[in-house]
Amino acid sequence: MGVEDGGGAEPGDAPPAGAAGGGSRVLVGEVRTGLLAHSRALTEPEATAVVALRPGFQVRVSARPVPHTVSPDLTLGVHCPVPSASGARRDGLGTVLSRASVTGGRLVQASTHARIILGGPRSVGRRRPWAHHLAHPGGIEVGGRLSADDLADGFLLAETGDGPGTTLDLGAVCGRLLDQVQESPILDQKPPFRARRTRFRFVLLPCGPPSAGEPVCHSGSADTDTTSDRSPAPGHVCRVGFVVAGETVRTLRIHGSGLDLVSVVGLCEDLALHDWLLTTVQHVVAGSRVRAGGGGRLPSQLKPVIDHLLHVWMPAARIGEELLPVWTGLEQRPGFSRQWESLVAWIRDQLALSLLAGLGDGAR
Amino acid sequence: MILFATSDKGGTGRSVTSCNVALRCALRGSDVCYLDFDFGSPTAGAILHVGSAARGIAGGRGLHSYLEGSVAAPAELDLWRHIERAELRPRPAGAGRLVLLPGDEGGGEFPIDDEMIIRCQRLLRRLAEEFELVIVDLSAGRSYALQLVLEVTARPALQAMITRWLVFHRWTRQHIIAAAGLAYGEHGIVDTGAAKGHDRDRLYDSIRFVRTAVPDPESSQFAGLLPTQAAWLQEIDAELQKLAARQRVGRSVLLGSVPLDPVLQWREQLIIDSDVWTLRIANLETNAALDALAKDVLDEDSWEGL
Ligand SMILES: Nc1ncnc2c1ncn2[C@@H]1O[C@H](COP(=O)(O)OP(=O)(O)OP(=O)(O)O)[C@@H](O)[C@H]1O
Ligand SMILES: [Mg+2]
Repeated sequence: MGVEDGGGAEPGDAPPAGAAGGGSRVLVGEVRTGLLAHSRALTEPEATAVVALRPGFQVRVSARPVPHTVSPDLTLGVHCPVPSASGARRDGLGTVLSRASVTGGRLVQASTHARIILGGPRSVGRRRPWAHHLAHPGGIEVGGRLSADDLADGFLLAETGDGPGTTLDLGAVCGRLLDQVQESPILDQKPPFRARRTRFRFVLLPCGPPSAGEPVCHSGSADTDTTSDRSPAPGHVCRVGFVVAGETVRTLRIHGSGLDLVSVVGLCEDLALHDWLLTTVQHVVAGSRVRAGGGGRLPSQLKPVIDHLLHVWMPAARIGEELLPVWTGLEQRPGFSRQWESLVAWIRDQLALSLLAGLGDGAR
Repeated sequence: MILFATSDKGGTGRSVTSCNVALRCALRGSDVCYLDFDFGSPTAGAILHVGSAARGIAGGRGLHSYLEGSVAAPAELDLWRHIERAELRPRPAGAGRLVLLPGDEGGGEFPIDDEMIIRCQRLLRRLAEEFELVIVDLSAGRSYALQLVLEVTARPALQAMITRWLVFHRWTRQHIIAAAGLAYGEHGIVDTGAAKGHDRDRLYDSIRFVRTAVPDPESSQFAGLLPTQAAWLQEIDAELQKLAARQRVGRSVLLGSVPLDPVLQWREQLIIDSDVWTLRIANLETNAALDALAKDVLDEDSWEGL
């Protein structure tokens, strides 16, 4: 794997030619979501302890609309080629940021992201010292020519993201963090039911029309940069592409301008959370439709879903104004809330039927 | 539940039987995964009719590579898309997931180190999070694989999980004694486990036995026997029952018993309904025994302490 712990990076091979001046930036990230390995919902102090992954750094807690606890950011140094659909091997050097969170005392997420700075001011031969990268956590500078689309496609389309290979693998970092949280001694390892983890990969690209092959270059000033993390004037979203890439893999491509990166990552975590809820409940409902008990009995698999998951659905609750278009887009197609409501309606019907059957039994 | 499939001797039917149990548990609706920890000869792919992984998976993505640290996660094959038996594709209605984690082609046994223990523990915990049943097919005997999982399951992160053991053996004197030895003997599962920090009694209680390729003197297979031969078979069977009881591998710890089957005798494969009903090559009794085994594996009562 191409990931190494923060610390001394070794100077790489000969620098590729070209690429100078201010580069374009692409935000890439992955969120993995799962069910917490615990028999009941965690209390706030428990959730806080589970995500207190960096001694001395604060855990962020919010109680509304659903309890949500977020670990401090974890930094990991990387020095390896970045993904590329065309197979170009371009070395990246910098750090990725990860964090873990617990939502509703039930769901656990790990998310890892990096701002990738393409064709940065330095070629690889004149790398910035590590101190620079550590002072700008979450940034990876890439030397040599690589277009934003080439990078984005390479990242989104990667088979599973678990190697083998030496390319930057955010999925592996993210998966390991999720494992680490789930291994917490606070958890009793007895979840009320089994659920698959989902992977949600996202990229944020500039607004302009996709230019095939060529690096998108900007003047270099942070204000005009698409993915500035300084959050200047409120930005906007140009277009969004959401793909259900497999049973548990989703990809999201946002083209936007002037957006606050922290909010974009937050948005993706929220989307991943709701996508997981939808995927998981859909799976349980599909299973109990096939194996419906009959006689109005509530299929046993539905109970934990009713008890533990239904109330966590709270779409776009933590999303800023400028990112709402992304949610709205996904509400039109694939129609997150519409799907959710039809699932919930079906579950309610089953519940009502089982109550009626129960009354009937009692009367007999 | 994490279920370790072991046997003292090679060629007992451990892999064939556990693959069939995995299939049947999935058909009953459970999410099941099967790990080929028989590093010396990872052939679960062949039994499960996955041609591309018949002798392990190529490309350095198997369990071996994962444990050695060269990939971040081992390959997972969704068997409903990889099994080359038309009757099992697509995924039958109501079936749970069925996933194979193959070994590496050309792998071999290897000594274990600390990193490997951590990786193994991480993997098993994650799989137990997603699957109701995680079957780990270990190499025969007191192997590195056995050492590894005994070490891993003694660690705090896995102590909270339900881990259980199946010891497969054939229905002969030698096999009965060998199976008992692997479970309770010197350097056996209980002994080694206790030395690694397991609770001896708990570990002892988590072991069950499966008899494989058992000739049933009552069955039609033996209908052509002379009366003297039939009587002799009965007698031997009764003796073996007594021996098993003396060796502490008798009925109370018996999870199931699979009869000698003509199909399995000739070929390592999955037995499915069409083999019994349409092709009529496998025996009804085998089908019933495998079904019962699958049911009992998932039944808490089978694992009640003694
Ligand atoms: N019930 C049965 N009746 C007849 N033959 C059987 C039966 N079960 C298994 N066999 C056969 O016994 C042989 C050994 O089975 P299998 O490969 O499953 O054993 P194993 O214990 O996994 O061996 P190894 O230690 O080599 O991995 C195979 O040819 C298999 O088809
Ligand atoms: Mg075998």
